[in-house]
Formats: sequence, C-alpha cells, structure tokens
Amino acid sequence: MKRTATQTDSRGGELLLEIGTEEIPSRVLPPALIELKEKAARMLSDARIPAERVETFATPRRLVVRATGVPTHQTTQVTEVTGPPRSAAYDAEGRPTAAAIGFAKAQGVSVETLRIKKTEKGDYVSVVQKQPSLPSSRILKGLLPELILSLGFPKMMRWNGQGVRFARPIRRILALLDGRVVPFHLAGLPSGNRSWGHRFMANRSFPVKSWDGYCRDLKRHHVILDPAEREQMIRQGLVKFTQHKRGCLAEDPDLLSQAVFLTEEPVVMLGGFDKKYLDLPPEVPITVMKEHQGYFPITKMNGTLLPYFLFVSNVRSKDSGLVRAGNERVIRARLEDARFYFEQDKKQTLNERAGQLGGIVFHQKLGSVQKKAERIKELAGALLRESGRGEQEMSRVEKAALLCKADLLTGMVREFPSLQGIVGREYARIQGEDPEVAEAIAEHYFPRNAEDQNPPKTLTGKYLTVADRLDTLVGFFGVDLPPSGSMDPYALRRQGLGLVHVLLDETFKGFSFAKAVEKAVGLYQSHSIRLTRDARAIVAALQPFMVQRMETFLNRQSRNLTGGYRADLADAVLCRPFDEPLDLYKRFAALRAIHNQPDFDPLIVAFKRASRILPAGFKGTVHPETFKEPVEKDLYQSFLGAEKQVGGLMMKRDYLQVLQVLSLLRRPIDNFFNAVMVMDKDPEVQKNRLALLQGITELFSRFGDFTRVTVEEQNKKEVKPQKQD
Amino acid sequence: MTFQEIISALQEFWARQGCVLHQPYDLEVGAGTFHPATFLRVLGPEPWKTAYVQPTRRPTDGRYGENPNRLQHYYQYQVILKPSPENIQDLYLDSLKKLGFDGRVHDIRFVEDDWESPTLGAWGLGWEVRLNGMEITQFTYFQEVGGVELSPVSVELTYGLERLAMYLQGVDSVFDLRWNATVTYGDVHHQTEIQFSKHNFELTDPKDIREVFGRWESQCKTLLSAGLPLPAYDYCVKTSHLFNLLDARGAVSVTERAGLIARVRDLAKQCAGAYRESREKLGHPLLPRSGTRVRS
Repeated sequence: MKRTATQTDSRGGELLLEIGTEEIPSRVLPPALIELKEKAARMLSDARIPAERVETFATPRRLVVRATGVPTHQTTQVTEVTGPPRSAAYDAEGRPTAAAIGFAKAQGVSVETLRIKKTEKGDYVSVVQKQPSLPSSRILKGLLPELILSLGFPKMMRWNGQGVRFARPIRRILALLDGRVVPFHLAGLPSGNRSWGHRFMANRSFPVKSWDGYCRDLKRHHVILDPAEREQMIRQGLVKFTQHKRGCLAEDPDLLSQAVFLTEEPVVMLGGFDKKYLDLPPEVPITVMKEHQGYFPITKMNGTLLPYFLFVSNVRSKDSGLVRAGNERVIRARLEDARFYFEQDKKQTLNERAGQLGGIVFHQKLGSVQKKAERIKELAGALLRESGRGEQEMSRVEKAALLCKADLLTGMVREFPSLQGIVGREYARIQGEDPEVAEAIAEHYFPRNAEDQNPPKTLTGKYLTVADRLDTLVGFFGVDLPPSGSMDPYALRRQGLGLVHVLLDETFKGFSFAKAVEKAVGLYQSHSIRLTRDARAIVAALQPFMVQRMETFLNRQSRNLTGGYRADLADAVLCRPFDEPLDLYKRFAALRAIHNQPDFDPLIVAFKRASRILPAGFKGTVHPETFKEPVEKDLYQSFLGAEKQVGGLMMKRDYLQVLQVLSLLRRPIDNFFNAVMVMDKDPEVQKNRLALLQGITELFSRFGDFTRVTVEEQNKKEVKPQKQD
Repeated sequence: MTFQEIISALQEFWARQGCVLHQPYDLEVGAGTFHPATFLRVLGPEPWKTAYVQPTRRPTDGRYGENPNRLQHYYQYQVILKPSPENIQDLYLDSLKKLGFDGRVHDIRFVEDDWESPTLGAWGLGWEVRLNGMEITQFTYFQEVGGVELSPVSVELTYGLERLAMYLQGVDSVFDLRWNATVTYGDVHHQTEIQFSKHNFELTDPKDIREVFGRWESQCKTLLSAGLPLPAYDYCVKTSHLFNLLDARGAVSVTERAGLIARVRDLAKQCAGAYRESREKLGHPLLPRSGTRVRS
C-alpha cells in the first residue's frame, strides 16, 4: 500500500520540443496533436515536473510541444509504504521477525529505519522514503525520447537501423528547456538547438533560444507553425477568390484540414477549366476536384458549378502562373478522360448494359448482379402492389430496377467508382427515361453512409433502395454470412442502417419487415438460388440485427438533442419483435418528447409499483361491485376512461396523446397505493385489486415495456456509446 | 527536353550517386519493382544502389491508343537506394532540378501514399510526389518484400517518365511527345497500343493462359527445389503477367482473383526466401569487409 504526498516547488520554465520529420500524412496530424498534448502533460506530471500549460502544433514537417510553467526541479515526494502488522513484525522481546527483515530488505532499507504506523485496523510497520528532487533537465533527457517513441500512428515505419518506428522518418530534433539544449539521442540523431525553415522557400537551419524567437524566426523562414493560423490564412484566401468570382463555397472541414496540414506556408490560388466540361454531370468535376486533387470547387449562388477551382499551394512562387497552369493541366487531363468515357459510354444504352450484368458476380453463393436486379424488380413490385399503388408507379419501379445496376459496366464508373448510381442517372436521362426512373437509379444507393442525411426523395427510389437492401441482407444472412464482431466485409450494417433510415418515411406506414423478408427469401428460391437457412430462421436472425441498426440510428439522431440519447426509452419500444420501423419510431419519438416533463418520472414510478406487485402469470377479472374504497372505485373509473381513449388513439397512432392519457392515471394509482393494501386479508378483494392493476399494466404495455424505462437520477443523462456502423 | 534526354539526365544524375545503371529486365512486368535488381536485391543485408528504365505492362490500362493519357505499355524510371540515405528527399529534389524543376518556382509536394503489392507480398510507406498537382513520382520506404521484413530499409523512387515529359514539353497527348528531335512517342508506340489493346482485351485465350499459368507455377517450384532462385523468380514474374492478362479479359471472378494473387505471392515469397539463403551461402559478397582487405 502506497501513500504519496507531494509538494510543489516551481519557478516555471519553458520547454520546447520540435520533432523534425519528413512529410507526415495530413490526416494523421490532427489526432497526433491531441495525443502528443495529452501524453506530454501526463508524462511531465508523472515525472513530478508538471507543466502549468501544454500546447502542441504541427506542420507536415514538424510536431511541436510547448510546455510552460515547468518546475526547475522535481516536486519532492514522500512515500510511505505499509508492511506487516506490528504483531507479526516483532517478537515478544521487541526483536524484528523474519517478516520485518524481509519487508525492510524488499524496500531497500535497514530494519532499524522501520516505523510504526497507527491505523484503524491496528499498528503496522512502515517505511518512509523521500524521493530525490532532481533537476528537470536531467529528467527530460530520458523523458523526451520516451514521449516521442510513445506516439502511435495508424501506420508506422522504420527508415534506418535504429529500430525506431514513426509515421515518417525523423530527421531533426530541437529540445530546449529555458533556452538550453536538453541533450539526448533518438533514432541516431542528437537533439540540438536548431530549427529549420520551409523546404523550398528557406531551406536552412537557425538557432532557437525562446518560444517567441522561435515563432518569429519560423515565420521569417516561411513556416506558419500554428495550424489555426494557417487555417485562417486559407479561409481568407478562399473567401477572397470566391467573392471575386461572385461564387459560393460550401463548407468542407475535411478538405480544409487537408490543406492546412499539407502546407507550411499556405498560398490560396485560383484556377479554371474549360466551360465545356460543365456538360459532364457536375458530380464528375466535383469528384475530380475534391477527392483526387484536394481542390475547392465553387458554385453560383443557385448551386450550379462554376468552371473554377481554388487550391492551396505550399510555395510563394516567383512564377505563380506556372503553378496555376500546372494544376489546370492536371484537372484538364482528368476531365478530358472523363469526357472520353462519357462519350464512349453513350454508344451503348443502359438496357444493353443491363443485359450484360450476368457477367458480374454479386456473390459467389448468391448469383450474378443481373439476377439481383431481377429480384429487386419483383420485390419492389410486390411491396408496391401491397401498398395499393397504381400501374404507373409499378412500371416505373420495374424499369428502374432493371436499369439500376447497369452503370457498373460503364467506363465512367470504372474510372470513378464513387459515382455509381449518379452515372446511371445521367445516362438514363440522356436516353430519355422517365425523370423519376432516372432519379431513382441514383437514389437507390441513398443514404450512402451513416453521415448521409439524404434518403431517396422519389417513391420509386424509396422502393428500389428498400428492395435492394432487403435482398442483400436476406441473401447474406440466408447463406449464413452475417457480420460478426468487427468483421463486416459486405458492409451489411451500413446497408441495414440505411434501410432503417428509408423505412422511417411515411411511405412505409404499415410496412411489415417480417413479411417483406419472407417475400425476399421466396424470390431467391424462385430464382433457383439455394439459401442454407429457411425464411423463419432468417427473419429471426435479421430482427435483432435491425433492432441494433435502429438503436444506432436513434442514437445518432438524438445526439444533438437536449438530454442526448436515452437507450432505455428506445429499449421500451424496441423490445417487441421488429416489424414496422415507422411505428416503433413514432412511439420512441413520443416518449422522447415527453420524458423531460415533470410528471414523466412519477408516472413511471407509479406504473412500476403496479407492475411489481402483480404475481407472475396472474390472470383475473375485475368485478366492479367488489370495489369498496373510493380510491379503488376512482382508479377503476379512470382506467375505464383511459382504456376507452387509448384504443382509439392507438388506432390513430397518436402516441403522444396516448402517453398524455396514461399520465392521467398517475394520481389515481398513487392515491390507490397510498390508501389501500392490495394484498387484503379477503382473497376476493385482493384478487379484484390485482385484476385492476393487471388491466392497467396491460393498457400501458400496448404502448411499450415501461419496466425498461429508468428513473434513477444518474441514469437520466446516460449517453450510450456510439455503435460502430 | 526530349523523352530520351530526360532519361539521359536521370541516368547521369543517379550514376553520379553511385548507382549501378541496370538495363530493363527482359520479361513483361507490371512495375519496375519486379526487376530482380529491385525485388531480390532489397532482400538481406547487402547494400545496393541501382537505377534503370523499366518498360512496364498494364494490360487493363490499354485504350486502343485513343486516350491521350492511358497506355498499356509505358516506361518507369526506377531507383533503389539501400540502405535509404538520410538525405534522400534532397537527393530526389536535386534530380528534379536536373530536369528543370525548382521547388521555389513549382509547387512540389509529398502527399501520403502507402504502397502495397499483394502479388509481391510487399508494402511500404511514402508519398506520391506532386508537381503543381500532378503525380510524378512514387516515393516509398520498403518495409516488407516477399513477406520478409527488410533490414536495412530500401527506398524506391519510381518516376513516371511520360508524365514528366508531357509536362516539360507542354503537350496534352502522350503520343505527341518528342522522343528525339524528329520522332514522336506516337511514332514509336501508337501501333503498340492499338495492337496490344486488341490482343489484351480480345484475342488472348483465357483457357490457355490458365494452363500456362499452372505450368509456369510448377516450373518455378521445380527450379526452387533445384536451388536456383534466379530462374525460379523469372517464372514467378511470368505468372504475374499471365494474371494481368486474365484480368484484362475480365475473366477473373472476385474469389478467383484472390486465389490467383495468393498463388503468385506464394511463389514470390519462396523465391525471396531462396534468394536470401543463396546470398547467405555466398557470404553476402557485397557487404563491406571490416579490417584489412587487400585489393588486387
């Protein structure tokens, strides 16, 4: 057992560490900055030289820690270690026993120095040790290399024979405490007092004494150390050129961060491309600009793309025209490529391509993509028919189903895989398909991921995506390839999450998940693809899977609401077999809407009281004439009134009103429990009262399982950790 | 600068750095990395510096000579430095200066690009080097090759010669490049593109290729058993190209793909192992000798 007392002795010193590297990937720098800051602060304080303040900075070629208020010496530390009880440590004559000698030896002290410590449990021997207070510079010699080596990156590499791993090679180390070098070696390099300028604009080193001088000299050497300052410079440049072109710039944090961490001295520049490339689907130039090149596209106020782009150079070139022309060349070549495929692709219609989908495998065990398209058509058709839609809708959805995968065979999608669906939509428009059919081809991939807030808008798109996703889930679960743990090679969780999202649309009122799954299973059978599990097993496996997706969805959706996500509220409505997501959602939304109201918790408490007292499996009938006490008559009347209303409200799915009506039962229930003993001596009275409570709990359970709702104060703010999707 | 002048400039530069100027390997390869002067020489402890042009075949990239930026046959300029020198980035930038690219005028950037070759059982970390937004070089610190962790670490530079030349000459079509003063790249290679695209996409016989693949695979193993890693490796390289040809026919399903790649990788790993043993038996002749060594 250790007890530690510390004393602070400090006149604050300033620590500066610069890890000079070759270019570290831009996307790993922001998390590295956080890690470096936390670890530096923790390691300093663990070493008893806690800093008052720790800051970190980075450019592609340097990771920097600045710590201020670092004590000149370690804080003194007195440690008391407790050993065996006094009775075991000394014999009757007061001579130390083997236990005492052993303890002293283990602590590295002589047995004479042992002290007696009084505790509540009695007297024990103990050792008091004072840790030496070493100068911080001596501590840092060992601590700084340890700090550098403790950093973890997603991918690490070796570059010389020193066995050190880092994101990219470390080439220089600057380490100063109050202007004096903290000497150490790492990866074959000695630490020193020199920093280095911009790779091209000021490729030389300079000595550093203090933080202020360091920042000033870095600027002179064309390095803006602080990412926030570089971001500011980039933002200003972007705004300037956007206004110059009377354009609009969409906020894009990822793109901005990339530009910030790819430059030491950012220079925003404007480039352009030929207007003729605006004839391409706008997603194509946008993809080229953003994903391939890291450029910022700009649009007109109405959202149409302008033939310009903004990019961030890392050099203040003597001939900026060359830099601009170079970047314009690159985008021109890529757009020309795209145009080439666009023209090539138009030589074949989507229908012709759809006919060739038999050559693309959906999954070895689940047949070709062509077969999949046919199943989508039949499933979407069946679901539509059931919802009572007309012929026109039917023919649209069938057409779109047959064409929706055809763009997989185009040069354009081979070149720009992220544009699948979008490319199909464009070609469908060009070949004169119904606009809704064309739109649905793009939309059947919506929402594309968990962050995507745009599910399909067209009816055709909605049915198409539901059919496609159901078919995929049923297929993979049907051949026993569900996701497990961190393994989800077919991205089924994402498919399921998207399915939940779409099914929450009013279009899918009355949708039955179980029945839809059964239909999808039937289609595999009628297309002679053998699933290894039967429909019932697949439904049983998919239902809990979908419940988890729904929880993920609700969690994400509730993230920005006051009170956050209440897992218990979701649980209360999701505990029944998963069937109609929209209905479950409405119940959850109603609960979420009222759970902050003051009478919500008392209602739950009252309900739980009623529910708890019922013996398991109790069944009884209420005999109104047996009620004697006014409170029980009153509760019965309230119950009858509520029951009558709830029936109609449930039919109308006015769940908020259902909850309001149920809330009215709270007082009568409380009064009832306060005034009567349910377990009355008279068995008839007892049974009658239990029957009443049974009726009430059954009424509640028509909405959900309220026993799962928690009312403890500490659980109220509980935010469930985000599930992986 | 003509296409051949660019090559000459790089040859001269890297020769001065002490590189062995190798010649292209005489087999169809998908990258300069397949050349034994890279794949085999980076294994084991012996130092090694080399530079060479490698004609490279990527059957799926053929466009019948109709696309100004895509070729199924092109040239890489490959440099290997083992161990990787401390000033390698500066050396590389000096080589760009020889081509007329000054980092104070052009925006030269090292952008993350992690390299992996599933067929060679190899991976490394590094960058694609961008010149005013255009990728001109792959810059990789090899970490593992043939499934073996490398020590020392080699650095590989792969220059895209056509891209550099198109930039330098300011042309928009690779076929318009001046090869020398009188002949264009198109004069030399346009027919190559048309004919090989037709061959790669339409006229190979997948059944036949599969059979040959199997034959070369067993030949490789036979040679390995005979203790001849160098010829064995040739057959490994041949299977890799056969796989690429099958791929270009669209004749490889997703599952078969993984299987074929694994078979090539398996050969590559065995060749790598056998090569290391053979160098060890020879006593690593390129390792610097400590103590006195009398030169005759």
